[in-house]
Amino acid sequence: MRLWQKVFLYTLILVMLAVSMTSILLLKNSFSLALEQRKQSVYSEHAFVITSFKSMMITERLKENVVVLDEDALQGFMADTFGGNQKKSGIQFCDTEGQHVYSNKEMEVPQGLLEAVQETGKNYMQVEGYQLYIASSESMEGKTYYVITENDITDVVEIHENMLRQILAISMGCAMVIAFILLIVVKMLLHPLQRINEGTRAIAQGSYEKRIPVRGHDEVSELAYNMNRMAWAVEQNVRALEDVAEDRKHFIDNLSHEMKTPLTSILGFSDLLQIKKDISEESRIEYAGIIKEEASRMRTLSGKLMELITVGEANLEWKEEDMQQLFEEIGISLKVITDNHHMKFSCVSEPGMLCVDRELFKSLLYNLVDNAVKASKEGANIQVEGHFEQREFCIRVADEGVGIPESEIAKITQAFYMVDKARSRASGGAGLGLALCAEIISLHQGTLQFESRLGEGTSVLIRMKGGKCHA
Amino acid sequence: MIKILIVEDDPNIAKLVEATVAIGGYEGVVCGNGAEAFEIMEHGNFDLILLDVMLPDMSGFEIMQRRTNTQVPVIFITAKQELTDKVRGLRLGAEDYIVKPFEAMELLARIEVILRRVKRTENVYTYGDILVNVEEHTCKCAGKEIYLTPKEFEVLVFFIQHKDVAISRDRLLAAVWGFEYEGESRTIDIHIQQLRKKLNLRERLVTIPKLGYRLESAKE
Repeated sequence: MRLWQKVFLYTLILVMLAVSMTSILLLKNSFSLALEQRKQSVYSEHAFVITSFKSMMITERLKENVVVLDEDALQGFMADTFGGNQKKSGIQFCDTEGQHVYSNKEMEVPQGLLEAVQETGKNYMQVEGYQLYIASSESMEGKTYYVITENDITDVVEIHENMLRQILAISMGCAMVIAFILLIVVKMLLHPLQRINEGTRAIAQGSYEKRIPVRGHDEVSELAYNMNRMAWAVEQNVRALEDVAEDRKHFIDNLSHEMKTPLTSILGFSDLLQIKKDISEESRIEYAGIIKEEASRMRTLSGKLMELITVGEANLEWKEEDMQQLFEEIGISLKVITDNHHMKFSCVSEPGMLCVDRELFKSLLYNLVDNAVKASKEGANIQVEGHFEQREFCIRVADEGVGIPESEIAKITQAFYMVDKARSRASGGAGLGLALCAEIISLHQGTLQFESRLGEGTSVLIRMKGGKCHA
Repeated sequence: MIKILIVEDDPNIAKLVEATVAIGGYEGVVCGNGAEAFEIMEHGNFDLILLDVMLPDMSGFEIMQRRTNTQVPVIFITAKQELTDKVRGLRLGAEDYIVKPFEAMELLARIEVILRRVKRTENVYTYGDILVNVEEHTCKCAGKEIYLTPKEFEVLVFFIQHKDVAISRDRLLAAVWGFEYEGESRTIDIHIQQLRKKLNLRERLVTIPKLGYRLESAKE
């Protein structure tokens, strides 16, 4: 059952119950009041009838000139007194055994009436159907008689029943009106809920950008407001997840492309070597050379990939290192590479401590210098320099190489992005070096910046937080 | 001779494709740059173009969109293996779409299918004293007509098209019986034996252990 139906039905039932209970109670009250009044009047009438009968009996005694009327004479007198009287109220005389002595009309004496009078010795009243019976014991002419009068109370009961019928009709009418009004009110109150319902359904079905209109200041609008906040949070999370998935997909796409290119050559040339009958010595050496070259390209790629994957994992060793010492150490191993390309190289830093992972830091400088070497001609200068600036440690790797076009700078830290593909391939690059650097720097909570001029050289600027200078 | 334009930026793969088409007896011309390739395609006279998608200057898809010389059939050869790329490539009017890495024989087979469709292949092949007419479905040996079953005929044509190339049983099954054929390679052995007997090829259609067969060039 819908909520509006429930609210409507329960309210209607409760209201109807309350209205009919009150009216029935009131009615009952007024009925018993009316009955009580009638009883009073019946009672005094009864007493009056008996008193007048007794006084008439004395007169009769004088008339008959007897001291005491005998039973038959009394019966005859009763018949004389009440017989002609065709009033509505009937009267009956009984002896102590309850035997019928006289009655002016057919009367059904209710059970237990006489017994009650006998027990209490007082007057007793009882209602039976539309009749009210009253009984009393009277001593007449030396004998005890029970006098029972029957009074018609049809009018009182009928009034009560009429009113009951009327109230029923009025209640029905009221119920209709109340139901109608209630229906409108409930519908109106619950209408915003319907709107929220529709809104949340739309959100649940995936349109996370949908919002529910908020109106007024009641609980329902609060609910709508909170629903909107929830939808907003969900939207943010979904978008973040989508971005991650998109990045990952992009990465995988690039990776598969980068893997397939050497694979195609390796598989293709080995295929040729296998299926061709006569291969000149020259071609054989060429094909084998290509296979070897492409295989080593794959080795570089997988090595870099492993580095990139493991760099994000938790087995890092954070330690305070003296930068001057570390730079000197790294400089010695890097000098081997630059010497091979006949370049001038320096690697120095101010003394001071910085919390780093030694291996990653080495890898960072190695990759940056490797890039610088690849970009530069023989005899060029490459400088690596570190210094402290307030609470940051700054590293600058400067070369005099080909430079990076400005439009490309934003993209160069993306995995597999290469500014000059042919050149990068020729020097054995996989397009992962700067992606790795960016990852290492972000682990050290640093920032990476490039300054470059085409044909003049590139400076890489790294800032890492938390450095302490000795000097 | 049939001329094929190879558009591929990776020099090693370009070399591979060139060597592969040479096996099929085609002449390959390599171009490593999208914009240049577009120019060559517009003005050059080629029978088929093998086109990479990711190219410097102009992508393969872009070349396909912009080209006006649509007579020449194009086969995409690319590392992009997603269905959407495939569909896009074919929608742009390519005849076929080959995903890297590929096998040499597969590339050759697909080239042949396309060339046959545009009717640039030969109808008559000669091999020594054997003369095969594909159109008439006849085979003559030293001027005498030899009766061959349809499958034997197709196997013979395949071997003549790939002289001096070692052909595996699987490759032959796929080419002659179709990819879905799941027969035994015994079937092939029987056909080869029949061909050797009927055309006296015992010396020239040689068995290569663990691989398959090869039809050696006819000695003049």
